[in-house]
Amino acid sequence: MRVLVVDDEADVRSVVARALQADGHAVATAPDLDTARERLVTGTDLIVLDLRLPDGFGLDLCRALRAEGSTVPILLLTAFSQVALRVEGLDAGADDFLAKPFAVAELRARVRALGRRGALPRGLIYACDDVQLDFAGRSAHRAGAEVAVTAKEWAILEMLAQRAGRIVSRIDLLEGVWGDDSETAAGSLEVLVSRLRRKLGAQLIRTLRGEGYALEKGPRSVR
Amino acid sequence: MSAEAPRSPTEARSAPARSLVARVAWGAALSASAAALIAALATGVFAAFLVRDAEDRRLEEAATTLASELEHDLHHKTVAEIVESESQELQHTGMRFAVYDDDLRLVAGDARLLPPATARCASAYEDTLRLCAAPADSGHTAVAAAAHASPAPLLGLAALVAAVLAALLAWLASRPVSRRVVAPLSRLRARIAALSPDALRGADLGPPEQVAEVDALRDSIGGLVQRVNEALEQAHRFAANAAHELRTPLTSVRAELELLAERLGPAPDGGVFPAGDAQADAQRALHTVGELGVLVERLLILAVPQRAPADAHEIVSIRDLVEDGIAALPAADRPRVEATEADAQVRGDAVLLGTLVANALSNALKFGQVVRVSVEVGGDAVCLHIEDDGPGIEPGEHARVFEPFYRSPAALRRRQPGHGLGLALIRHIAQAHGGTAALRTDAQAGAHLEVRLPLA
Repeated sequence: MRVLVVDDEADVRSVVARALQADGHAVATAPDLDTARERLVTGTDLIVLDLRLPDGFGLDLCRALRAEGSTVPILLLTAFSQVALRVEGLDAGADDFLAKPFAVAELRARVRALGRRGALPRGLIYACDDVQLDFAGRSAHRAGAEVAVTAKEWAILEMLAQRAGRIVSRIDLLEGVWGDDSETAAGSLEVLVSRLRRKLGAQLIRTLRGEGYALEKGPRSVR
Repeated sequence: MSAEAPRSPTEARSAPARSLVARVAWGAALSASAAALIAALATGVFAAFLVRDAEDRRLEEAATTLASELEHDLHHKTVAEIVESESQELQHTGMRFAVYDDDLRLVAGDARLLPPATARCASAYEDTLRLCAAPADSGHTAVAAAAHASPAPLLGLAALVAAVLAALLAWLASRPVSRRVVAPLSRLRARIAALSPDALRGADLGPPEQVAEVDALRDSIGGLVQRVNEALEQAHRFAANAAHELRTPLTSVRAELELLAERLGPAPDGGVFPAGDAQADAQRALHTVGELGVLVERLLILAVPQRAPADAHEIVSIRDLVEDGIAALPAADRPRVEATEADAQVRGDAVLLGTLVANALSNALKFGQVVRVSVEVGGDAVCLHIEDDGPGIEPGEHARVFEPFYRSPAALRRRQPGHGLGLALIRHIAQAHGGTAALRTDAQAGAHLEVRLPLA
């Protein structure tokens, strides 16, 4: 994948670039928003974006890109936690968040996963029977009551909803959500799918033994 | 606050202080009683004066009448006869009469009634007799006298009763009155008590009371609150900036070490490195940097007052938090945690609440062998119980273990690793969500942490 790393700290930029290059990605770097815009080419598959930059906030670039209709996945490097920031980031069009200092393995997994998932649906609302999933607002309802859905569960639902009614293979899910197909990730996938069934109804997600999972095609899968 | 009441200066006072209302009431009652007494005395004196004045006028009138009778009747009556008839006429009043000639020799009447030397009226015989004199044209002096009806004892009693009644009234009225006086202060006190340390910026002390002293107090307390808030914000900013600045170098050091470890090749089978192995050094350094990262992360959470706007909160399932917390533990620790399947949803920050659960679990696992996690829903709150079978925490330590960097003597003796931030972090996050965190004093064995959060 072609990855653009935007961070004002030269040390961080360099080590992130090397870590991603070692994983087989072609990496371009930029120290600020202006340079980032210059180096952003049509073939860029993913942007790793720091939050605070000398000439503005990373979220400004997110918003600008989304306003232009770009769907390139964006991984935001954030301050730890801060729910308000995460919500703002989602609104601005960021796809995932990673807190500094991060483990290289985690960074690579997130980059791989985002690259696998590709362009994500924006403003998708999925509705089937009494279940309603609002991906933009990250809210899930069942029979009118709001249901808690974790970040990883949203990632699974996103991949399934994009292809509602069709099978999404286990490998695709593992690589798109965890960025690897290790046994640990496979175990987590099973746990999370059964959890989603518990929360949203057993019939919502179909299991196709040995193949993967499919989300019921809802009568109103609107984009 | 369930288990631990906030420490306030009130607790530090040894003897119960008298209320301001009582002080003002006592003062008002005392001064009102003194005023009543003085008024009663003055009234008594004035009344005595009025009574004597009336008596004098009566005696003067009688003496003048006698004098004019002496002028008119002397040609057909003796002085003695005139005095006698006048005495007869006014017998019912108990008045007595005497007449003296120009040389002040008694002509008729009572010899004890000596005419006053200077004024027209005077008292005699130790104030028991009042005499008034009137001159007649005949050269005689007519003297009328009556027993002096001393008003003193009766008036004294009346004054005393009035004073006591007034004092009683003053005492009865003083409490409501002084409560009214102190009311602006009480309102100010209530508003100050309602101030939260997390919301000192622009703290609202209410509108001015339009009472000069109270408003002066209000303004100086407002100023103090703002200065305290500035100092607090500065401290928070400093800690947050320090932690934030540390993250960038930590990020590159950690990543560089990981890349270095990669270049050095995989760990040998069994994970045991030969002595002096560079890979082992890199792993150790990575471990240390990892711990440093956790410390910085915790400090950053503690340094920032975590208050996200309510609409930015997400729905979080307690069962998910517990399951994910257990899943994130090292494989060897997972079987040591027993968790019930009960669930409840709260509104909040999933990452922060995850940090809370992770800290609660690792803390309990550090001290106990087996950890029980249960969820209990009651009223509008959910209680997360984390119980271990370790040595427990002395009830005397329960308040202090929640202070950042505090480490109990027991933990220090057992050489437990840690910074003493886990419980502080747990409480900080619980409070940021409108909840509480406390240690139960009725723990069966080991420590029993109870985190209470409002339901979504």
